[in-house]
Amino acid sequence: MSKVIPIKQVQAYAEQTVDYRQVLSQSEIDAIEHECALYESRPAAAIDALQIVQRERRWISDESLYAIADMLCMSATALEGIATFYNLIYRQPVGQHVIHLCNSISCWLNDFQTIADHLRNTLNVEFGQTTSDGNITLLPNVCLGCCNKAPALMLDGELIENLDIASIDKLLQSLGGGKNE
Amino acid sequence: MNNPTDRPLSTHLDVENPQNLSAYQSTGGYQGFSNALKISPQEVQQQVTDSNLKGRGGAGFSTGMKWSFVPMGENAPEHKYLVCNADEMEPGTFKDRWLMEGAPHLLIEGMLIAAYAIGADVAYIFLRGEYRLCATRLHQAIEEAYAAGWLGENIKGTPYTLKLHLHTSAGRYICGEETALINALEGKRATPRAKPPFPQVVGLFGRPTIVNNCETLCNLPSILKHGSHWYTQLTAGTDSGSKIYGISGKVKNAGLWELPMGTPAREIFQLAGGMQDGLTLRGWLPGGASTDFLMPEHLDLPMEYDAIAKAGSRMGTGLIIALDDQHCPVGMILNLLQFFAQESCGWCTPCRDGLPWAVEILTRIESGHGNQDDMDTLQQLCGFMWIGKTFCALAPGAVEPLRSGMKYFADDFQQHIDHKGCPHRQ
Amino acid sequence: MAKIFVDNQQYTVRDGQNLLQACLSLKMDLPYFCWHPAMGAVGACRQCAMTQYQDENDNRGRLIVACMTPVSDGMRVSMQQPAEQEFREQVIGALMTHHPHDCPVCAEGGECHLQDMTVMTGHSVRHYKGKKTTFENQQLGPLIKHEMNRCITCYRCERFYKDYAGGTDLSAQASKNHVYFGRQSDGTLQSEFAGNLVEVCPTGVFTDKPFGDHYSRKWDLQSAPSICQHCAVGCNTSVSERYGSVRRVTNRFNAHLNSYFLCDRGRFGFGFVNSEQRQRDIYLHGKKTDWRDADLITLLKDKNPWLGIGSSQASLEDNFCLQQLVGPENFCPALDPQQEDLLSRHMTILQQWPQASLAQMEQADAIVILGEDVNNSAPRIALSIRQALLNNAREQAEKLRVPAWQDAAVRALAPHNPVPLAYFGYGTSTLSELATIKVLCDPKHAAEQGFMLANLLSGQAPSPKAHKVDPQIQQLAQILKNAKQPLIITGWSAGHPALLAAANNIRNALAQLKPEHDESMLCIVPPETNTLGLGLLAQQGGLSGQQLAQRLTHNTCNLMVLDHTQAPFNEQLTKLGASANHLVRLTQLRAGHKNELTLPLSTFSESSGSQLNYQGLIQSHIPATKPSGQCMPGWQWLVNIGKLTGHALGNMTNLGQLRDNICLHYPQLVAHWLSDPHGQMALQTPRTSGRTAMLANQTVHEPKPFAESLAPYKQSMEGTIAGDKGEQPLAYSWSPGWNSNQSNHKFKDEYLNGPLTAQKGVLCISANPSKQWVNWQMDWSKVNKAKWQLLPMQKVFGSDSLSLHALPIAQLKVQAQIVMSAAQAQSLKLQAGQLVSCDDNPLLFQVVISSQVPKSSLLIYAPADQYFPLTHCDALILATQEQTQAYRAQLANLTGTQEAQKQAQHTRFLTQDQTIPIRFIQGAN
Ligand SMILES: Cc1cc2nc3c(=O)[nH]c(=O)nc-3n(C[C@H](O)[C@H](O)[C@H](O)COP(=O)(O)O)c2cc1C
Ligand code: SF4
Ligand code: FES
Repeated sequence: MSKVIPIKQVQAYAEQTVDYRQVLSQSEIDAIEHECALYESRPAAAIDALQIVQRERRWISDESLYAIADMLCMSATALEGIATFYNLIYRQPVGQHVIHLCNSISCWLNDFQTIADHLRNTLNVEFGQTTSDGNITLLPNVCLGCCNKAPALMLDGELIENLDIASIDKLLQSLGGGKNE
Repeated sequence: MNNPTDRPLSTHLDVENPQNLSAYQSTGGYQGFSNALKISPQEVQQQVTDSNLKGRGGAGFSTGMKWSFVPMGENAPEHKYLVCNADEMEPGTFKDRWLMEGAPHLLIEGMLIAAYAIGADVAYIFLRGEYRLCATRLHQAIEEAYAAGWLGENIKGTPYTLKLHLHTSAGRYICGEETALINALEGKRATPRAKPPFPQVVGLFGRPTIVNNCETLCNLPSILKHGSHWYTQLTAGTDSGSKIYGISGKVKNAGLWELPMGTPAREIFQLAGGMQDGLTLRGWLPGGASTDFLMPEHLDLPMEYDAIAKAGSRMGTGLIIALDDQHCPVGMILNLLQFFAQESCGWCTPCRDGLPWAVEILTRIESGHGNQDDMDTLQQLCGFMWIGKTFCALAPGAVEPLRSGMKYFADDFQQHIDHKGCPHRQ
Repeated sequence: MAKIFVDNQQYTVRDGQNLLQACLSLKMDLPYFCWHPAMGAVGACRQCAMTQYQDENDNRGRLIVACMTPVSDGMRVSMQQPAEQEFREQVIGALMTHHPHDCPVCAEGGECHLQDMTVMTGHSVRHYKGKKTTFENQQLGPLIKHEMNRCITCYRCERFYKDYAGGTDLSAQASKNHVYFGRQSDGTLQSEFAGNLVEVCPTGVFTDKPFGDHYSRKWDLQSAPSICQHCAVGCNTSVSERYGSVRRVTNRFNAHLNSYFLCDRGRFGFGFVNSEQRQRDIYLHGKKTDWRDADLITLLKDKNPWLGIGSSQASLEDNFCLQQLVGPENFCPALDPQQEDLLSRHMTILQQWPQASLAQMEQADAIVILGEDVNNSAPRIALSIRQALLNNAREQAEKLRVPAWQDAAVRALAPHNPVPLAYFGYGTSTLSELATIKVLCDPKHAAEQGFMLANLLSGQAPSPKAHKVDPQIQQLAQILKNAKQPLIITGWSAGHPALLAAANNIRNALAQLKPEHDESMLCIVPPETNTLGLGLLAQQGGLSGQQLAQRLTHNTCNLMVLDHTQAPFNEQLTKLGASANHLVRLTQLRAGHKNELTLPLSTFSESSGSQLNYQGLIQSHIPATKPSGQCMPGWQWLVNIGKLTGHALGNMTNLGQLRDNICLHYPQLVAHWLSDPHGQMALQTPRTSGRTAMLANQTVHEPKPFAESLAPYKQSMEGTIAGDKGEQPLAYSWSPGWNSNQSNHKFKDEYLNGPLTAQKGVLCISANPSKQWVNWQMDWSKVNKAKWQLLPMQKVFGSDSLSLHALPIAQLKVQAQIVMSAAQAQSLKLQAGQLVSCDDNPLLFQVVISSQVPKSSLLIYAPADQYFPLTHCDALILATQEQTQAYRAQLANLTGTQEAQKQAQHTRFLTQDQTIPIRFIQGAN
């Protein structure tokens, strides 16, 4: 546990920093710059930037975090404080596909439990886990705004409503299943 | 409701195939805003005040009054902001999604009117991240509006200039609270801010800011088009205008309808075809997860702010959640409280630590491990998180279904304790 | 003033404050967490709930949180009714749902605000039955220990670190009941104010690591009021001892100076006191001896003339005695001509202009920093300037009827209401990043701009011949004309006397602008804790360094030296010592000289002494513990020598008498020592559990309480306890029910934010009504033809030599650096992190690249324990591979050595705890 503390040298103790140009792609940089122009301060684009990079890379690695912080002229710690505040920013790797199953009240009243059990059993994962083939991550989500068509889930950002066992099976099939040995 | 002008929100609305700019314009779109441009911002404010429009975000505060706190005139700050609150994350609520997917130009026009009225030069739509389709459609509509000169510099040849941007959030209920929303837009942790100073004076980036709900803003075009008097006449009760009502739960036909303000709840149930076969209604939340339970005997109440408040609940968002007799009220309350505990921002003690505590107790009671002491603690927690004790309205909102549930469904709670388990699971 | 009713009792309180402040000022016990007197209110914890009533007839009232409620005339509130009492108990109950019960092993135990508040609210029964949230801790470096499970999420740490002190690497993370306070990843906290987290955190999340490694309960510590030794601000501290070792330094509230906060150099630098490097015995020519040694006596009685060198690291008493012993004409205050020049100029200006206190600086509405890196030379001043930068936002808030203690509101307004800050200079100071006007220049240019500015402000100010006026200077002149309380800051760290002269002229000019309401402020930062004390003595005349050297080479003279641990001093002393007949050195730390008589000095924690801070304010420290080994205070050695040689100084029998004698020369000091403690002062808390039984394993005799010999006061378990008498400095803070430092409010009439009261204490260098202009003719001829001038830089952890002997500071010491622009680096084909040396000097510097380097200059930083004499250089020589490897190996080795030292020290302390030296019994020495 106790690490040897290095002698304080040039930057050795500062937060880890990277040059964002070395990490982010030009299209990411352009998209983030575009967002920055919409606000009075660069850090205001933090959530947009995190989402832009997450769209490209599925999750926010430490390296991406440092790069975005560098680009937005803020500290990595401050950006971490924002990234970890939101439900939809992934600070851990996720699968090829991410299923967010709504667990709020209208879905709960409409067989959420059955759907949830079916998903967990079929994929053989708990909420918060990824199938071992790295294909599907299963996460819960608060009310998706599909209450009139409950139960519902969000697959890679797309809302899918009126779920039942059959439609789930079809959906999973179309994703190429999700093997979890 | 045959006259389309009686349904100012839904006439333009088509979820399958929303109107593009020219279709919207050819059916009377942007007329309200054109009217607004012909009069002074103060006059626009006056019209909205006269219309008696109340905010549809849940608190029901007069929109005109809210605007009146914004500094106007020569000495007003250089920049002001308008923000559309489209963070809709209240469980059981999906009206803003419907409006944005179905009538994006209606929202843009509403925002133009509001922004003009308060002299804002930049506006944001703060959209919840999960609403991808809304984002796509709004993006398209905003581009169209810019191209047609409804947005940008010198709109339609007037000196008025407005830039409108779409901000998509990343999933956090508290971002719907207007001061937390402002922090979120500034790229800070979205915890609420203390008031005063009110956002109308010191808001986004320290400048005067109005945050209005999406539905509130969608009401503005018709008010400016047909006049405030016309708007006050739409109602079936005392609050003016029309309202998007809706219902979810085990009803035959869950959905949304634009109805005159003050429509009785029973009518909404009827539009939904009543409860599904074999189920009876045990209770209902009138306007989202953060409102107190009402009982079947309350169904004839008009759905408007004061009437619902008198019955001990809140109209909230006006979207009903129905509890049927096959579902356990304790389980339902647990589910609601889990949501609020999960979504607490973590700023103030009662909410941050009180809600998980309530969840812990409810979980125990629900699974048959609770006792009488737990009921007392739960009751105390309701007081602990009540209005005035927390920093913002999230925790008191969370307490509403809990305290009313404990009152109306006391027997159910007792059964869980006495029979050491949930009767609905047997 | 406002009349308010609390539980139907009427009180009169100051308007504008919040209800919590008012109640605490009335000495009521109202619990709170998130509020902090220096940081304002945010209303997060909800602990300070009260009930407010509309009028006499309202008997239900509504719950409010006191810290967010301004007091208003006629307001009726209650604190003792069941509703609010129950709620306050519930708040603790909720906080305790995840607080561990690890008080027995928590370094905060016994002085924990959370413990106090838990007892105060009466929360004694646990209702929560669920699991607790747990967190992983982070490694935050050698100063601060992290234990997140104890967090009660009051947000104070983040608000102090980020908002108040401008740190960037600590923030709240995650949300709901998982909020986490820490860094993005493990690593040493970067802010030089991180140590305050220990006192800001109301529980044991952030604790003092060196203290915690060998902790003691507060009630077992013996503490004394002290003064920080690590820069010229002279922050007030409490030094705490147990079993013969100094355990920690904490903040001692002083409304005008440090208020609630210290810098880390001050908090953790005391470790030199416990260091293995301490000189504990008398050495004659390299051999340990004692005072009765005949050779020693012969040496001291030598009839040849004695010359003396004073020290700005030693007390006024010590320096005074040396000056008396050798005679003022043989006394030399400083060795370096540049330092002499700076000192004499500084003293002249100080005679004309009083220096602003930190509290005054916090009121500034325009600030000019002239070539001084206060961030590194006097960090606490930089912290105060940071607070001043919010003044316009506070004013704006008040205009919007939002009280200025509404911290979040003020911060929201700050970006559009900046306080102008002009920064002339070089280097990467965090203050320069906040500047609205920033001029990158060397000290000479900075001074010249200063002279021009003075001339723009007042036609009477001599105008420099030089260049055209920069529009920025015009703009600044305008800002200063409009400002009510502008502040000018300069100092010694760039090593250029012209800066002081320029600041003087600006100050004069500002006074002329507003002859009636001159509230302008000046602050000149000297380098050491007692630089100005030495300056005061030097006004009697004496030897310059050069004269001293001449005397030594041309005549047979002896040299007596109060030690100064900076490397340049040592270097010069080695040379001078060689030509002295006899050399006597009084020192706290071993230096390895052979041909001298070394007399071991007790440290500030072991003896009384006084020093003059940057304002010329005299402050005295009191020992917390007995001197180690043969150590004695410098003045006492010198008096003893006086006795040997028959000098009048030998007649002094005690410290009080000595001080009376000093007062004969400096009558202004009378008031200071009069107000100093003379009675009994309790250095131990009333709870001293086990103190009396401390030596029971060695002797059955109960020890007498330790008392400094010859001191004018007594130290005891009895006597004045914290806060009993307003005038007495607090040894520690404690009050019934308040074991943590939050008890501070019990000793004050009112909390901060009120109108500034007059600063207590004696300013020794009095202001003289006739104001003089300095007519400085800048010499622009290029004296030195070298390619680059080397501009000196400082570091918080590195430029103070004493603290480098404190282990945790030594671990954080910044190694030598040379800073250049990217263009320079490119043309020299150098990269950041490479090692270079300058001309033929062997010292290796790490290359750092920065945009803050003026033309034809390089910035150079050498730690205080490394000697580097060059001021110019022509060539940078890249280190060879072997050199680089050797350098790396040496650093790696050092890390290992330091870890080993730490372990060894720990073992030594533990042994010492078991068998505390018997000499701690009074009279058993
Ligand atoms: C916890 C919390 C969540 C909220 N969420 C939303 C929301 O998602 N959408 C919304 O319009 N208002 C929401 N509100 C209400 C807003 O704070 C604010 O009152 C509203 O946006 C004002 O708009 P209106 O005046 O047009 O109603 C929320 C309030 C709280 C306390
Ligand atoms: S009640 Fe408190 S913790 Fe909960 S969301 Fe509001 S501010 Fe945050
Ligand atoms: S001290 Fe008042 S709410 Fe925290």
